[in-house]
Amino acid sequence: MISNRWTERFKKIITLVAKISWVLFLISLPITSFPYFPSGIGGGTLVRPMAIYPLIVLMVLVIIPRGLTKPLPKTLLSFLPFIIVSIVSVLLAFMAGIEPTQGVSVAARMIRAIITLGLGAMIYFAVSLWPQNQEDLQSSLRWLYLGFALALLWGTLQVVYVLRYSDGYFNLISELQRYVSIRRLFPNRISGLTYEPNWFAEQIALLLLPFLLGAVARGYSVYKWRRGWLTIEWFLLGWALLVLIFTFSRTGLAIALLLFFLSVMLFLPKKSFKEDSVQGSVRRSMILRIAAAGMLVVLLSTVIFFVGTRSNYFSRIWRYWTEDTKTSSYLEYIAFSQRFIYWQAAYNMYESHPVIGIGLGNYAFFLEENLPDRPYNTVPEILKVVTQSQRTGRLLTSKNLFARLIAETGLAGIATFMAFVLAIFGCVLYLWLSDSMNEKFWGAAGLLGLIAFFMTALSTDSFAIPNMWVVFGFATAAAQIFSTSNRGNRQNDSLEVVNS
Amino acid sequence: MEQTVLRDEIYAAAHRWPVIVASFIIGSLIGIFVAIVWPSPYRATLELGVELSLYRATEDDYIAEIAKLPFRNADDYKYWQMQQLNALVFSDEYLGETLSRLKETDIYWQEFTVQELRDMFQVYWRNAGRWRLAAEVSRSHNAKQAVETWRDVILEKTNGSITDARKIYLIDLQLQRTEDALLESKIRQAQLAEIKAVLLDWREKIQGTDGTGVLDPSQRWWLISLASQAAGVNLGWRSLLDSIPSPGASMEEYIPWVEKIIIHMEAESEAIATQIDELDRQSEILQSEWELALQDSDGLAATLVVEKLSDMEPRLSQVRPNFIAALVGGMFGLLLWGAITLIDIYRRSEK
Repeated sequence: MISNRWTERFKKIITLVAKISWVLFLISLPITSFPYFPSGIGGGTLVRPMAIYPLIVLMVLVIIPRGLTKPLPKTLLSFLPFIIVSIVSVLLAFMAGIEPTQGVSVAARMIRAIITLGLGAMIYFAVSLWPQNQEDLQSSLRWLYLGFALALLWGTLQVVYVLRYSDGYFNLISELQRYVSIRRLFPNRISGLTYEPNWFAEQIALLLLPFLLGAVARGYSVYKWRRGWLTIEWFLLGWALLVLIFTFSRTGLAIALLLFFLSVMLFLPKKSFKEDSVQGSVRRSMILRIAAAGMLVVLLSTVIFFVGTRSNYFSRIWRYWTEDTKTSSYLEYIAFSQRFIYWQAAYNMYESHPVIGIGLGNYAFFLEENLPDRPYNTVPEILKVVTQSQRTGRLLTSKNLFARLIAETGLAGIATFMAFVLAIFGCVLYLWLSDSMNEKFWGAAGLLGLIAFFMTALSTDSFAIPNMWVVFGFATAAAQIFSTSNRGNRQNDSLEVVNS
Repeated sequence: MEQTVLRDEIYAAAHRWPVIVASFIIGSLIGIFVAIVWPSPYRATLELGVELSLYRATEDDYIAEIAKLPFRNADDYKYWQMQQLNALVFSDEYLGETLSRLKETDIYWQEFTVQELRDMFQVYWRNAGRWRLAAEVSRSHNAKQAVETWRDVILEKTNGSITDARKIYLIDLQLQRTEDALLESKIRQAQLAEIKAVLLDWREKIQGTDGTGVLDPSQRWWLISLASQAAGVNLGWRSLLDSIPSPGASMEEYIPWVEKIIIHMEAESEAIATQIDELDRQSEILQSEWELALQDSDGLAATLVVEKLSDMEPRLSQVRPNFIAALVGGMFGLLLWGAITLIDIYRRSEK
């Protein structure tokens, strides 16, 4: 009897600790480069999500036991082939006897690659397996929003010095930033709680905007508070957009514009455009949708343009055509040409190792010999790679997830990763094609999240950044929860029919 | 109900990962097969050595003038040289010569144009050092022919230009010497004219006075100093200087001596004027030779070296886009899988 009571009490404590860990995990997601982190393995670690601490507790207390005792969602099984291919590619590369570069050995890189992929997989598994019902999904989103509200608040405090610089204020914020990020702040751009402005922008664009835009477009809210059409998501969306502009991140802002456009085009309810089934009316409403989406994008672009003129870096996008002296091409001027070189090098690696690639995490070892033969005097970033004395000690990556996959895991990696992404796409479509407002919201958010993922994957290549895994995890969890409940409802309906 | 079935089916189909992976792999294999079966050109490649010594980077002003760019450092100079060489090998002049030689060698080339040749050729380089020349042609021996002829033309023409660049250097030295001599002559001419004017002035002043008095020693030394400045290095001048009247001589005794000096100076001035004309003419000739050499050098530096790296035959390979075809095929396989799945779901829902 006493033993039972203790067991009950122990279970309650475990449940409470797990819940607290889950909440901490979601709230701490915006902190991507936490300084108090085990030192990096080979080449230095920039991605150090603080969420890993609560995640470890969650894995031990809930996710692993749940994974072992309950049936796993099918989507998780679609992910496993990619993990297997990645590990095989790493092991094959390890046996190939690759020379170390800049003091980093293949073994160190191998461990690092497996850890980063493992970290991503842990995040994905946790987010997929934690929510057990619709209420869990909604409360998780509320905690995620809270974490982002804190990040946006911190970002807003940074906007102050971008608008009106003051040494004392900037130094104070910088000093505080040192407790949450390993990198100093930029005086003319904001970084939120992340490593740098681009990371913050991509975090907002991939992890926050899809949910907010999905909610606003569908008139859905995870909060009870509502005044007519006005919900808390509206406020968060406006706030996120304002803060996002001050990151002056080209990728982040481009994704935001695309998501806004698509939200109006695809997700605003038919009644907003008075659509009915009559042919002419459908065409008219399509024109209205395009016009509304276009106007919204023009409006946002105008705001971005006016704010963007404050940043020398960002305004290069249009200053190229107004400056008199041009000694470089447009892509060189906006510091984008090196990306093509990285991608070309990745393709060359794939050509030499087409089946299973050069091994996950090994891009840097093969970079120099696979750089395309072209002059590099106008691309200083590459010049540093090929000039021994200029090397910084930091290993370069392809800065594009697809290029990385092609180079490091070959056709096998791309095929299995695409199978996984298609499974996520299947989840998202399943939700989107529902009649239920709740499911439709998760579908819309998932679709926007997938689009944002494809866009961010063109400029980032890390598996350890939680953003995409969280989006994929929520899509998996939502599809699993709703499909299970729908199956249950259908079975009950059939039973009632049989009984009657 | 129908909608529920549709989304259930999509959900189930999207989770059949073995089918999806198989579709990708089959698509990739088909892509590779198509790439192998599809006729593809041959690529012949050859290597070329390009070297540049930078010791004249700051002195070759004419190159900066041709480039119309200020070279801030040796790297700027070097990369401009490399870019210039790159531009030259694709120029109409080089390719025209290559084409005419190819036409003489093989009837296959009769219908080709310079632009078509330009599209066939590629040059790959990062810096000075090893440059790779490549020609992509549908027939293997023609690919070899093309790249070898191109390489020969490049070697001949660039080395011709480099010889002219070296000539520029020599002409530069000669021009400098001529300019120096010209300057020296003009200075001497001006000096003689100035001294002559002073002596004429002195003579007039003496002729206007009695002139029987003894010349003041300081005046005598002044005259000696002027005459010494005017004196050249020949013996005539030496004896003229020696024939100066003795210290006790009257002022008018100095007048014939001064007049002799003036005559000598006039003679020398005339000689200098002729010399200046000659130097001007020489300078003009050198200038035009310099400009000609500059034109023929095509902006290449005298210290540039373009050479064959070996006598090896061109490396030949067939350009098959196997791996890009595998990727495209894989993606096409996925699309096909998607289309077939949707048709299948639609047909079942119809039933």
